[in-house]
Amino acid sequence: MMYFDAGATTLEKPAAVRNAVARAVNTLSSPGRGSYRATQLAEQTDYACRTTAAKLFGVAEPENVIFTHNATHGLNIAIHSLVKPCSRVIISGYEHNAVTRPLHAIPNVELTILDTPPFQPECMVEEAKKALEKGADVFICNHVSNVFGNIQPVEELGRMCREKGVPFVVDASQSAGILPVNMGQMRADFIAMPGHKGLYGPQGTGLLLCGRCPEPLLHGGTGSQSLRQTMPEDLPDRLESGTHNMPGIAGLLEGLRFVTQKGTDNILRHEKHLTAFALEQLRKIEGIKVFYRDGLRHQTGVLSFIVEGYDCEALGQDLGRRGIAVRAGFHCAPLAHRTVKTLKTGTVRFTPSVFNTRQQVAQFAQILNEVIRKK
Amino acid sequence: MAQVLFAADSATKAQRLSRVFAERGIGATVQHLPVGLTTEGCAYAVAVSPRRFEAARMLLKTRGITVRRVFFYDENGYREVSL
Repeated sequence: MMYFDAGATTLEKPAAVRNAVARAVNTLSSPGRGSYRATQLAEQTDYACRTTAAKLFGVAEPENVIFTHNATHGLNIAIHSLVKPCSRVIISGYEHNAVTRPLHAIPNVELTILDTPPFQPECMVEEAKKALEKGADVFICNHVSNVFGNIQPVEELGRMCREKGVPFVVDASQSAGILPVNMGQMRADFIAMPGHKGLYGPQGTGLLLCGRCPEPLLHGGTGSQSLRQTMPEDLPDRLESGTHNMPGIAGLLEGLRFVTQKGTDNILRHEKHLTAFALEQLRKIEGIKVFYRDGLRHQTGVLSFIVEGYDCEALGQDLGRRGIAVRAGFHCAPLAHRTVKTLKTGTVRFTPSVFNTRQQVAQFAQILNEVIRKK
Repeated sequence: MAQVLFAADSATKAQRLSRVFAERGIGATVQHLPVGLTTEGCAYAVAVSPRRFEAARMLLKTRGITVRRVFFYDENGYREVSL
């Protein structure tokens, strides 16, 4: 199989990640739940993971790095902490259901959606400025669209929000491990990210970086302050009820070390190189429309395309039969499709990882061409 | 064995404190705080030798790290001290 669905999950993991997960299963028990070796090792692993993440993402205190199940979990905590009934919330036109559904679940949220074209961050900044002038309680934006790969001007947006005193939440699902993500530079109140995409950790892991005190989404045991019936005030325990996913955290630690060692610049360069090559090949195929602009200047290694007269899900399945793994449909982001006017068709999305090669991309383009011609 | 216990509210804070000490050559171990010393239930402590108490105290002061409670333990049992 040739796997080009890193935007959903990086399937191939570094060997250190695989080994750490396997080793953790019978060596790490539960942090804070005992005074024996296995729990001490778990506490040390937790802490090493927090400090490695804090360093990579510019978080001053490791306590402000929270373990979550995924980015959706982190975004729900951030939204639950900041958005109340009747709150005025600004979001980009590229948000995932992980943002729009939690907002929809809160009564009477007054939503402003920035309807701007992809790959034109200057338009987003202009629209955001106008929206902020009207007043807002929260601003939520993804760093990179999971559908089109467009990079959003989050540092500029964060600066504008800070000036207006509006809390800023960043969904770094598609950027963590690929672009520089820095809590201070983004002036973010919360940044949520999954562990299983660009950070090369296992599924079921994620991080929430906190710039302010959040409200817990889950209430329960933390191994601390047990006589109280309210959640501890301090992070990370305030947000981390229940037993930790130690195999996941041990794997995520190795994923973070892998990204740190490799460097996000090198990872991005490789993925953009493959994406540019894919674009070059795809443009030769008749009937394909690829979503990009300016030589991928404002885009990461995410390429969405549609083929005239070929349902995108059917194309995804046909490619799957030929051993090509891509994601087709709406990518849990109907808002992004609405913004780019692909809500009727959906798209097929190609997202390589650091482990893909140019040769694989050439094969992908060749097979895609064959599949389309056969139809 | 006599020791000084720096109380910490969470396992993470205890880990952090132990590393701050270790970085300055102050041997420290993370352990649970005895139930009799806690007011809110399960808590943690970072234990150091009484010989290193002054160095540890100065380090916390320099780094601006606040520790809510500190206990001395010896053959007479535990006694709380202030920093």
